[in-house]
Amino acid sequence: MYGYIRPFKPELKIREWETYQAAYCGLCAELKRRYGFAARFAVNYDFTFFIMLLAKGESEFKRMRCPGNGRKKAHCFAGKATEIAADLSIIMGWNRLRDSIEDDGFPRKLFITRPAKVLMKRQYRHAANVHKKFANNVSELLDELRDLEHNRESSAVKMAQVFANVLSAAGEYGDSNEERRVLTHLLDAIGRLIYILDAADDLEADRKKCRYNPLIYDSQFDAKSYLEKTAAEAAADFELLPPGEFSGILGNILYLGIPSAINK
Amino acid sequence: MNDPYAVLGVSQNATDEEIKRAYRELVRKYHPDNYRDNPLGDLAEQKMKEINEAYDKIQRIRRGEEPPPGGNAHSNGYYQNQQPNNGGYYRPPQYNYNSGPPRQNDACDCCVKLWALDCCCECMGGDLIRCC
Repeated sequence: MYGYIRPFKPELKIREWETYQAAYCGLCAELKRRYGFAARFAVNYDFTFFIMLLAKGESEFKRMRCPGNGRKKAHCFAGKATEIAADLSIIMGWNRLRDSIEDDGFPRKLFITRPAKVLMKRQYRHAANVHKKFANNVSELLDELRDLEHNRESSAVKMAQVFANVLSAAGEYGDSNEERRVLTHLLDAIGRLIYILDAADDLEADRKKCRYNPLIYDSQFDAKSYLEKTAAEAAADFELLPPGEFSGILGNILYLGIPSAINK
Repeated sequence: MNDPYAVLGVSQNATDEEIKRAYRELVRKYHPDNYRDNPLGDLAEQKMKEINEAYDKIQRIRRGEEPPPGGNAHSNGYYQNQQPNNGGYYRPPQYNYNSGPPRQNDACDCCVKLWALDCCCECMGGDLIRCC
């Protein structure tokens, strides 16, 4: 998907890097198990991060064959968190394809985006059936985002907040009331970060192609200080989560990985 | 409160300096200024309260005003004279971590009683018999 929420590899222990890869491979393996081989393309770093936030003691590491890595076997992390992340990845992936159809040019739309969306429809229906509330939320919020884009909304903060509401809905999957509150706010901060980082990344290309970008229309907006403030919020929220298997990696992502993405 | 040492993330054998450092780090992390515009400020406040209570309790334990976690009422006055690296736990004096539990009638006992054999054992590289 967006790939901004990643660890800062130079400061990651090898053991933590392998555990992170296991979470990523676990998502891939779960996508294949639930939705077929082609669904593996929905694997993404954002929901790998989500798995690490949710993971609890009942999970385990399994060895499975990895088609993307020759004949090697990879360690895959499996558990309830991976199952939820796989379902939500399909829902997000399908909705992104739906949006891409609006934005893409003719050849890409005809040969790539539309066929992919049609092929994913069955998987999407299955995932949306299990997670009705999340699927409805995502559709409505992305529709609202598209309307704001068409109307050339000038507030970058408002746009970021609407997008963040999509991710923060996944905070409902926490176990306790307290955990749900923390996850919702943390994912809200992460959602705002992703939106503004993506906008900043696409700024030059959007300016050339006259596409909507909130940073073009909101001239008063200081993206860097907003991103730094939001990253600090996300880190403060992370400290309120109970310590888990992936706490070291999550700390690296929040204190080093995200600031590194902001500086780039 | 369960274990105040676990709340601060230190071992029971930690020095006073280590405990103070852990306390300061946690206070910096959960300080109300970090949660000023954050709806989770109440959770951070709760965490701060826990940390302060844990630190105060450890201070009281180390002054001998309270038994350590897992201690009992009889040991209330005993702990005042314990060395910090003992963690306040009573250990039978013959238990030696280096040699394992005490054994009476084996080669280890020969080494201990006849120190010459003990030296030979060492010269041969040590570890010939478990106690060396």
